[in-house]
Amino acid sequence: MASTFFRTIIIYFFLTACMRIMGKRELGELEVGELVTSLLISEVCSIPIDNPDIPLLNAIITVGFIVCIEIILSVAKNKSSKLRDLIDGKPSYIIYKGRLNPEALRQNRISIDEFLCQMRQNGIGSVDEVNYCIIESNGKVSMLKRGDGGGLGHLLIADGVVLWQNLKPLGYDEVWLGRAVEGVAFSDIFIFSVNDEGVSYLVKKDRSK
Amino acid sequence: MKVFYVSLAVSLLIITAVVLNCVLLGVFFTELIEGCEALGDIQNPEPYHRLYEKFEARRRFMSLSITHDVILQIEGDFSQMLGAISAGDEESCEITKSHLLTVLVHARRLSGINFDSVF
Repeated sequence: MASTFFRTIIIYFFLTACMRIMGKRELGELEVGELVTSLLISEVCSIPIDNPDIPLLNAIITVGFIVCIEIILSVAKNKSSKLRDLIDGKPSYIIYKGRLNPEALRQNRISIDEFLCQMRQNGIGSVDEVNYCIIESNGKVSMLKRGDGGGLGHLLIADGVVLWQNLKPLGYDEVWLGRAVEGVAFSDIFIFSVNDEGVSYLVKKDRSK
Repeated sequence: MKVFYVSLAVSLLIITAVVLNCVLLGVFFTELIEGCEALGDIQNPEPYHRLYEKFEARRRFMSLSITHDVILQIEGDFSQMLGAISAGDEESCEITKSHLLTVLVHARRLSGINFDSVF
């Protein structure tokens, strides 16, 4: 009884500290890696609480290591879009520029009824009202109506890395990109995006930090 | 980035600690196994007591990473063996010694990094 009591208190404070270190992302919508981390942490911590024969240090060391790996991976995912796609998956376009993509529905195992239900929950009555419907990598469905501002902003440069996979489907090339960023070196750009109407948005990296 | 480097350092520290723990436990269990195998005549109980004291001296360190169930089994076997020596029961002592050896070999196997312990 006493060991379970004290172990639970120790695990409570340890987990609270871990969650604080991992940040607010763990508390909201979970990506695949974050979901796995949260499930693993809860499972590993429950073992020594349930079974006093298992040393508490086993759980603390293991959870500490999981938290470190999660932080290292989240930084690595910010640096590499390929790694991010591999671990969290890519957003999937169900409707792209007003055109429904049935293949994307099949790939995501979403029936027409489920899709229509999602639309209604987003306050949309008909498919032709939607310009973009995206299943985000955290599983949430985002919908943009036709005539919403300039449409979807397509991210072309993130933290100095050109996202060629986003550039090519829009019909742009490196020469256009060089002109669009007005001579700023790609590596000096934090965000560069362009919306459906060709309006671009650029944020340079803050070198002073 | 500070959190990243701290995480990297902590994870390397944890990996080192885990490997070191495995090596130390492996060495300690090997010493106990060899000591147990070398135990002979029960008319001379001194080596039995010395081996038990050796185990007792490192019990707390072991209990940080070995399940308490295994430690209890080892302690129980030592207790039974020393009791058999006091009673002059050689047969019972031999049986318990054999059981203790099995438990120690099992503990060494599980505390190391190998196929049996991981899978």
